[in-house]
Formats: sequence, C-alpha cells, structure tokens
Amino acid sequence: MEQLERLLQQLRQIMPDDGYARRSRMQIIGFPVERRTRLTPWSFVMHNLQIGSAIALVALLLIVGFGGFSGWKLLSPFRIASLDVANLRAEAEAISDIQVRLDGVAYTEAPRHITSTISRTIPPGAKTTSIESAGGTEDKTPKPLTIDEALDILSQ
Amino acid sequence: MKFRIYHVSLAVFTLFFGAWFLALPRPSFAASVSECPVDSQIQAILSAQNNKELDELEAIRTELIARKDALRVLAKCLTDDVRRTREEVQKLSLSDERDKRVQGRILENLDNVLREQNLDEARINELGLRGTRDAARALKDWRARVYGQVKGQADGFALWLKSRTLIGTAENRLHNITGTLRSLDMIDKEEISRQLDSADHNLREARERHDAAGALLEQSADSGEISLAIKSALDALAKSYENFFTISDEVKKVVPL
Amino acid sequence: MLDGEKRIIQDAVKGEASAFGLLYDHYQPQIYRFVVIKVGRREDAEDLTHHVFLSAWKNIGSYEEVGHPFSSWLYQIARNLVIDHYRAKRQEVGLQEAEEANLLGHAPSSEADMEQSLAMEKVARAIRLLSPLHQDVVIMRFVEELTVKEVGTTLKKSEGAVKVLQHRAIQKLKELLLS
Repeated sequence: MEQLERLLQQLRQIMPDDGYARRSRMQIIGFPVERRTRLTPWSFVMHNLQIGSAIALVALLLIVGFGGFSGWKLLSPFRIASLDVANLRAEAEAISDIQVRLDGVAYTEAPRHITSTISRTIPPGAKTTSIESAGGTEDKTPKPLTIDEALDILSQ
Repeated sequence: MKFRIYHVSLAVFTLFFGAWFLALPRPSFAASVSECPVDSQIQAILSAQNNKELDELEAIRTELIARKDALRVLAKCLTDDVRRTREEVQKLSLSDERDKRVQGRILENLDNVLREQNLDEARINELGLRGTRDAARALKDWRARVYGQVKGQADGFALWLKSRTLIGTAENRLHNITGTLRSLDMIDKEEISRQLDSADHNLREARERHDAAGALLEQSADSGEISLAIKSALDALAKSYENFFTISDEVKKVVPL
Repeated sequence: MLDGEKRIIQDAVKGEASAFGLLYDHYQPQIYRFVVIKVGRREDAEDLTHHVFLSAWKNIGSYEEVGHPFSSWLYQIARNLVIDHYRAKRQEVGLQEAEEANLLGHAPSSEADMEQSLAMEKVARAIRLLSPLHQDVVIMRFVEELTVKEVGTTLKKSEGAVKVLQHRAIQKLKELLLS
C-alpha cells in the first residue's frame, strides 16, 4: 500500500504545459461577462438608480449629438479613457521603441570613423586629444574608444 | 450613474497604468556601447610609431610597452563589460519559473564567458609586438563570436520581458474597450465588431509568437533568431493597436472623444 | 484552498476577471491532472480543462458557497465534461485513439527519471481501468490529497461511503497492477 501511495503521489508531477496554460487563461478571463451583484435592498435601489441615470444620460447624449455641442473636450469625466488616443499612441510608441532596440540586439558595435591603419603619417609632436580618422570624421567631439575599436587598432 | 462610475474608474485605471508604463525604466542593454578608457595608451602607440627622434629599437620597445598597457586596460574593460551585463540580467524582474530558467542559463553563459576571458597579466607580459596584434585579433574575434551571442541573448531576454508587459497591457486594453463599447451599445456595429475580432486575433498571434520566442530563449538559440521572433510578436501587437485606433475613430463619429 | 479565497470568489462573482484569474492559477494544475489521468491524452485534457474553467467563469454568477467549496464545484464540472467526452468518443465508431505515452509532457533526463516515468504511466493506465467513481476517489484522495469530506462533497456521498469507495478502489488498483 505504501509503495502504491507513493506512486500515486508522484502523479502530482504531471503539470500542464506553461504556454497552453497562459493562452487558456488569457482567453478565459478575456471572455466578457456581466458584472453581477447579489440582490440586496441597497443593490436593488442602486440598480434602478443606474437604469434611470443611464436613460437620462442617453437622452442627454442624443440631444447634444443632434444639437451639436462644442464643449465636449471640457467634459473630462466623460472622456472614454479606454479609447483615449494619447494613451494608445504612447503604448504604440513603446512597441516601436522595442522594435528599434531589437535591431541592435545582434551584437555588432560598428566602429565609428576610426583610422583603419595605424598611420605613421601623423607629424611628430602633433597634438591629438582623441583618435581621429585618417579620412576625417564628421563629429569633432572627442569620444572615448569602444572596446572593439581599440581591439581593431591593436590588431593591426 | 453606471456610465460615470464605470468610466471614471476606467480613467483612473488607465491613468495609473499609463503613468506606470511610461515610468518603466528603459532597458539599458541595447543602448550600451562598451566604452573603454584606453585612449591614452593608443595615443602612446601612435606617438611611438611616429616619433622620428627614437631609433628603431627604442621605437619598438616604446610601442610594445604602450601596446601591453593597452591590452591590460582592455582586459579589465572586457571583464567589466561582461560583469555589467551579468548585473543587468540579475536585476531583471521575473514572473515565473520559466523566466528564472532562462535567466539562470544566460547567467551561466556569462560566467563561462568570464572564465574564457583569459588575457591575464602573466600572458600579456610574455607577448612580443606581433603577439600583441595576434592577441587583440583573437580577442576581437572571440568577443564577436562568443560574447556577442550571449549578450544578444541577454538583450533579447530583457526585451522579451518588456514585450510581455506590452502584450498584457494591450490585452487589458482590449478587455476595457470591449466593456466601453458594450456601455455605449456599439459592440454590434459591423465595423467595430470586425475590428474587435481582428484585434483579438492579432493579440492571440502576438501571444503565441511571444511564447515561441520564449521557447527559443529557453533553448539558448541564436540571438538573431530570438530577435526576429520577438519582432514578429510585436508586429502582431502593433496590428492590434491599428485596430484600437480604428475603433477609436469609429466611436468618435458618434461620441466626440 | 487559496488565501482569502472567499473574498476572491466574491469578486469573481461580481465579474472581476483578475479575481477569476487567481482562482484559475490556483486550481488549474489540479483540475488538469484530474482530467489527464482520466482521459489519458494531454491534448484532450488541455481542451477539457479549458472548458471547465470557461464554463466556471461563464456560470460563476450561479456559484453559491453554501457548504460547497469552490474546488468541489470545479471537480463536478470536470467530471461532467469527462463523461460527455467519453460519450462523444463512444459515438465515433471505429475511431480508436491511442493513449499518450508521456503524461509528464517532457522527455526523461536520466534512466532513473525514465523508470519513474514508466511507473507513473503504468499507474495512470491502471487508474483508467477502474470505474469512473473509483477513478475520481483515487485521484482526489491520493493524487490531490483532498480530505474525505472534500471528496464526499464533490461526489455527493457521505464520508463513510467515500471511505468504502476508497478501500475498494485501492484493492482493485492493486489487482490491476499485479496482473
């Protein structure tokens, strides 16, 4: 019996696949359901108040919609946050941001315009505050070398 | 009342979510350039090469000293670079066992990289002029081939985690938008219904592709492959935002936003 | 049982998806195990488990905790769906799907692992040869280690009846494993 019990307990190691569990969960909790409340006197009152207010609001919207109303933007409580364009834009930009960073993920540190050969043509005593390209660099601001740039120079 | 409570709470939720999301620190990985304070040593090499006042032997001796100095600084920079990457991987916020497994594997790979980086003082001292060139070439090649892959995986992992957050945000957004459209009694409008279905489909695609990228990370696949897989997920995610924008436009026709 | 489960269930009943998500995270593995041991195929078990929770979420408004734990309710849904699954399979005349050999879902990493995996497969196959009621008792009592009371609530049997069922189920299982 003990051995059998141990074997049965080992069956607890069976687990669902992570990927499946994640997808299933998302699909299920994304399934829209009505909000429910248990019926109490208070909830009954609130429920009817909500219906009445909803009717009044629809009527107001119809009047304003047909009549025209220029002050919509001022009515901040009525902004539909889930469809707010500014928020959508910010989130969409965050996606682009990562896409751009992903372009740089393949490890390449492209050498900047650095002299490809250690040239003996630099006049003696010439003052240079940083390594500048033989071909001339657009950017005159001295920048520290990267590891790969330095290795590039040293390997020649 | 129902409308106002629902939308004020949505507004608060979205403001909170938006503020939190925008405040997320940008991943520092992909932006790092691995600079090294080796300029003065390189300068010394160039000076030695161009100094006509030195005889040939003296010039070689001076250049060799400068090259060895440069290699010493570079060896330290190499190790520091790997350690920095390691720290950044350790600091990542993880959600589950799979994340921890991937993190563990990348950390192990980085530790292997640290062990392999064997340009120490004793070796540098033994090098001649040609030896310093060969050592630099070998290091450069090793760095591109070996460290490059692991760093790519580390970068990819960080961006994969961030992508997951974005997908979750979009899924919540779809859920909220659906609720909003129900409240506005617009959910059955043809174009809106179509856009919702499309958004749902795109988000599922995004999630599945993201999972697939996760599988590649677990297998320590090529960093280029990982990067492509994450981008594919983000492409699907971006499409879902196109749907959201279209829905927003449709709603604006009826309810000015 | 989940910490603060009562409150979480109340929130889920009100329609809060995140609350149901917590319940899902907690109970999904055990419901999945229950189903996969009974049906023998991971793919079918994934499908059925998904429907258990989808059904629970859709109908959570009708859940009332009156001496009736949430887990019991989930197991009841799972039992019903497995019964429907077998009914549907019996109607597919001539279609015999082989049981999946790898319930763990991953390849064993060592010989010891392989042996353990084979032993587990053997036990799972033997469980499937028991009657549905005996299967339920064995899985709930010995795999998931639910109490006699919890099993009784789920199966709508008295605690005494559960103990008898448990005893008979284990005897039968031993006979099957020895044969």
